[in-house]
Amino acid sequence: MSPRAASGETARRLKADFPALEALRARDRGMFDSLVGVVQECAAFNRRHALPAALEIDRRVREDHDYFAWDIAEAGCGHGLFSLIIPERLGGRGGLAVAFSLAMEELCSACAGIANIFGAHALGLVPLLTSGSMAHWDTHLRETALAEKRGEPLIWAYAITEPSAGTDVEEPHFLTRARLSMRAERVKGGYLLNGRKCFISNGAVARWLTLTTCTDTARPLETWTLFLIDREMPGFSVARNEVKMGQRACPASELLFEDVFVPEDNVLGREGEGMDLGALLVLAASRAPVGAIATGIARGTLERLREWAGERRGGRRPLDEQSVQMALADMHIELQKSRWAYLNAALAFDRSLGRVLDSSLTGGVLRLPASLRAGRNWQRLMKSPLGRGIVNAVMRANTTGEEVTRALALASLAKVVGGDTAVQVTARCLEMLGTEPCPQRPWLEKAFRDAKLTQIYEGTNQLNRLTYYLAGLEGGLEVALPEPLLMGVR
Amino acid sequence: MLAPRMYLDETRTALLSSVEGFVEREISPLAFEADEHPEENDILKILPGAGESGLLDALLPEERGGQGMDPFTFLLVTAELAAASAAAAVLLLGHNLALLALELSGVGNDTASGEGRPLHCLATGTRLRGPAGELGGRCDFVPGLLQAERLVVVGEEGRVALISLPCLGVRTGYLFDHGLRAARPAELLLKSVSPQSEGRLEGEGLERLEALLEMGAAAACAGIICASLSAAAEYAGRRYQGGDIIGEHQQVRLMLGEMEASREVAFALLAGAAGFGGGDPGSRAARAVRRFLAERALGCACDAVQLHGGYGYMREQGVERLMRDASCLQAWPAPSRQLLLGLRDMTGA
Repeated sequence: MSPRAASGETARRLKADFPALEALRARDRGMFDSLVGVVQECAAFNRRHALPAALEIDRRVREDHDYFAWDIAEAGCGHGLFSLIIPERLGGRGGLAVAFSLAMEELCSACAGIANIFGAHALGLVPLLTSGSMAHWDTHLRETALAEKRGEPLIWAYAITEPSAGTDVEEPHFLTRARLSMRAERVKGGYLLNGRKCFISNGAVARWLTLTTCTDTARPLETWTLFLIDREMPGFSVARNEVKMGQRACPASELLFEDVFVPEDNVLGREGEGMDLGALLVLAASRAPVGAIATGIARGTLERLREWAGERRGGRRPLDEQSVQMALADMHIELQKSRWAYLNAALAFDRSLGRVLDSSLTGGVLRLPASLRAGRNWQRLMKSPLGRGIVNAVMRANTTGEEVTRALALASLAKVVGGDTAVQVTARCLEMLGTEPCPQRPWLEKAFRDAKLTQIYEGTNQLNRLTYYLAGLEGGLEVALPEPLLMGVR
Repeated sequence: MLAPRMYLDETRTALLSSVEGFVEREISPLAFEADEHPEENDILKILPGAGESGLLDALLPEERGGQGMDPFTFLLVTAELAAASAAAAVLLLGHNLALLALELSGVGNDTASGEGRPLHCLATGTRLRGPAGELGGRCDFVPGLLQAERLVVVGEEGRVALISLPCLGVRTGYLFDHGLRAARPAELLLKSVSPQSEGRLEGEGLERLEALLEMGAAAACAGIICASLSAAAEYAGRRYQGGDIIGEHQQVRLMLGEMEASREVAFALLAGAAGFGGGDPGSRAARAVRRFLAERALGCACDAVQLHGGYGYMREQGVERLMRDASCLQAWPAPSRQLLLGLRDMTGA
């Protein structure tokens, strides 16, 4: 298919699947075209790289848990998959939650494990963006985009889960009573980190990580803090790679921190702002894409089932049977529900925190000459309480805690709907296939294994239901934006 | 013992308690590795113990050297085995039904009895073609095909063939790698095969065999339900969240309650369909029960993984295996859709 025809096909599909986007197109043609471009790029990556390699990588990782397909990651560079959410002025594609979610659906329709390399990478970047840590944007985000252009993946990860605290570190009420095993101890010029983080996607291959931990285990919520970690820091090591049921292409690792010194400059936001900046704002951004991951898995599975059902056996096609037609209709209805749920949530994010990243002030700063922003004075200003306060004021001028809370509630809803749909659809498709040996079978079996993780990571679906209840229905959870200018100066 | 007391008399209690010991000693310790590395055929190490426990000739009449186990007791045993390893349960289910098929069809089987009996596997649902000596056909999914010494093929029309393995013309096609891995299920391809002997199962015998196969799969589902409940309850009793043991959280108690309910219903259905007081299960009831329990097994296994959070998704925890095995039992011996449409046919429009 020619690029032009592919673009037309992608645009037609997006218009058909997302009536809401079609409505937005009337107001912003440029945005729609850019979304088509992103999805098209992902489809090309699937065709050229993911589809030919997915089953083999899955098999290979099962045999060698430490295997990582660097060639696939490198191939992702050529399609801009490591810079999807990096601002354009820093060399990225400037996508927000909508663009990123559409990309994840497309990528996951081929292989959720490979897609999650890019998904977990973006998740690692999100705290840097949502915390407005502009001092690090030029150094870290630009470097990530530049490395991608060189074809050298510079991978990120996001580390919050601890061996005895998974759900607890994603919800303020639980965090107060969590059994934490990691902490950051204040020392001269920075912090010493000790403890373990587990199930960290990309943990073994990430160069940089964003990480949350407390500075006082007796007051975890009040001292929860967001850090930027470099894997080169002495004392950091990968304890082991987990042996997962699915999504194997993306490693999940246990990370060990033994007296890792982290300089003060690497605190993102301020000490104690970690729950809002490092967890809730991030989850408001990341749960819609998880809904999209699940939607992509379900979609890929349905596409393969339809292909199977369209083939003749003994002169008949399963697709001609009414029971198969009804089952396909049922599953597509669920698929559309989860698609609309994630799009709704992603739009809510883009219209709240996304507006901060798209604001004229943020854009204005990024328009300043890079040499100026790289200068010592600018860096000093951005890392100072005054600079932090300015950033916070920009955030508050562009959105409110209420808007972000709403986005978090919708994102949690999207994650629940998507995860449940993926598990149900993949199980049902596999059941419909019966025991018939066919080329689609390994794909469906893999999708079944991959799907289950979407009900677990980014907070279990049980936690997400609770978050939806608290943030969306009951008002028991509200995201607090960081303090503005004057209050920020200490 | 998994089965509720109401179904256990003195004889069943003694038998199941001995099976429980066998499971703890010989199946549980190797279940994980047998699933991880099925090609090593570790599961075959259970055969001598299975023979000692009378599980290699459970359904054969006593006068033929077997245990003469009644169908319901056999299902309780199958559930007990499946709670430790659904693959082991399916392997022994196939073996026992293969021997029963030979017995019912009058095909001579010159193998030793008891512990020395070689492993048989059973292939069903195929249309056997050709005269004796030139047997042809294929069967999608045969547990134990790569491990058994004898293959018993039961054709849709009741034709029964006993084949010693390896045999010219018998090939394996697709190797299934998703669930029940330790039993190494594979596609069977027959071309111009000369069976060791042949026979025929008449209507009632064929129906009995099919019903026992469906019920055996249903019993394996019951075992998965029990294993899911046991793993989930154990984890819920030691994992903390928000300062509390998660077993105290209402949503966790609800999940465990659902599993508990499924377990109760599973045994009630097995008892009802198998004719608790004696007799054989009917095909219709057997299919309905398998369909229902396969769905519940997958639901419970899925919830057990969920309740373990990230740990549940990791292979070493052992609960994700329950999900994969349950998903196979939704499709084997027959996919639910086919089974439901068939049920309607059996009932009449």
